[in-house]
Parts: sequence; structure tokens; C-alpha cells
Amino acid sequence: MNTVLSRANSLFAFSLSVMAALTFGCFITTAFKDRRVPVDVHVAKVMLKNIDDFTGPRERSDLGFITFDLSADILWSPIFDWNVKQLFLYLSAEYATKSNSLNQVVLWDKIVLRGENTKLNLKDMKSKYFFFDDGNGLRLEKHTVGLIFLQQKKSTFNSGTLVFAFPCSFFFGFL
Amino acid sequence: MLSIFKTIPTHMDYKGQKLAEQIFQGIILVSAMVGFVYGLIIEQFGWTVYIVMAGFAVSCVMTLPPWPMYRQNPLSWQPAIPEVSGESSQKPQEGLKKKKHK
Repeated sequence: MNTVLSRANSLFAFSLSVMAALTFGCFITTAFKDRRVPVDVHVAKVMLKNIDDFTGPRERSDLGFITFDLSADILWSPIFDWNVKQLFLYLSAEYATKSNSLNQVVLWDKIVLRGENTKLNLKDMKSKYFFFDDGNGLRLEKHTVGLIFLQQKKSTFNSGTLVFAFPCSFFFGFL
Repeated sequence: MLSIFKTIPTHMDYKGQKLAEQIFQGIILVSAMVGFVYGLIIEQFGWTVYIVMAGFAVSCVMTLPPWPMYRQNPLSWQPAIPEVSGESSQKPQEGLKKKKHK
């Protein structure tokens, strides 16, 4: 503390420690919040084709087409706070086949930044990505139960990533 | 030119060092608390960081230069004892050095 440099050193170190404590406080104030948001998901059209899958095993695989309606109000909910900068939403279909007990296919996603319009109101949306099965599981399981839910991941610049899911139980069948 | 620089005092006395440390810790802690509350209210952590950085800057200005307020309690040194004989104090050292070289 007797020279300018040693004072600058201790000042800087103290400031960094205080900043780390503040960041931890920011994490603590937001870590135990309930961020679940009600989401309405409906599937309008369901189609199934059996075509060549050139991306994978070069065999005929099941390709599902669905259109869905989705509405959720994220702004209304307490999702965005001072520890959330952006949201990664994705809609995934889960189903079981004979070869795999759990299949997850992401059909659609969206990134929402803080301050953007976060009222989602999608009508008759086509899925953004192909709903390819890695075989013929979509057809074989006649009453495939699909559970679609919207997951929200928050990424922050200071406290890591938290994942949570709210199952919006929803069923559809491929006939 | 060098004599001008030498007249600028650069030191802090012990109490001044303690005072400087207390001052910068106080400023940074207060700015951290204010920034935390403000950031919590407006839900922007960036403002917390800005306020702490402002406190850092203020405490830099307050405590990095050795202001006169940190030199209020100079140490009272003993007055310099005039050397009785310069030769007697220097000769043994030289002798020691020579012995070490050998």
C-alpha cells in the first residue's frame, strides 16, 4: 500500500472480488424462480411419407409432416429478468419405437432476445426441420404417442445455463 | 529538472495507507450495494457493473495519488546522529568485503 502500484493492485483485486460477489448475488436472486409458462400446442395436419433418406442409411425411412399451432406469452411471464439475456425455444417431438425407447426430434426453434416481442402466436406453422425417423418407426408404431413440449434454455453472460421443461401433454397418432 | 520531481511527495505514511484502504473499500462496497439494488430494480445487471466501475474510478482518483490527507501523521524519526569518525565506520566494512573475496 505504500506505492501507487501496490495500491492499484489491491484496489483492482478488491473490485474484482466485489464484482464476483455481485454476480453470485445476481445468480442467487434468480436461481430459484419458477419460470414455467403455459403453452398451447395443437397439431393440425399430420402426414406420413416413406421416402429415401439420403442423409442416413440410404434406405426408405419415415418422414412425418405436421403443422402446428402454438401460442405462448413469454413477456407476461417472469422468464426475463436481469439474469436472462436470451431464450432458446424449441419444439421437440418425443416418441418411442421398437429400436429406441426414446426418440427426440426437434421440429422448430426460435431465439428470443430480451426486449423483443415475445408473444408467440403461430398458426398453421410448418415444421422448420425434417421429422425423419431413423427407420420406419413412425409407421410401425401405429399409435405413436408424441409428447411435444417447448423447452426454454437461458443463457446468461455471467451464470451459466439452466434448462427447464414444461411438458404440455399432447398426443397425436400416425395412422 | 530532476530536483523538481524529487520535491513531489510520493509516499503515504502508515495511517494514511490504512485510511486509503478503508476509503477505497468503503467506496467500492457502497457502490456495489447501490448498483445491486438499482440493477435488481430495473432488471439490468449491466447497470450494476457500470455503477461498480464508477465506484472503482472514483476510488482510483481518491486513493491512488498520495494526496496530502494521507500524509498527516509522519513518522517521527530520530534526528540523524552526526558521525563521529567516518573512517572507523567504513574501514571494517571494507575489511570484511576483502575477506569475503578471498
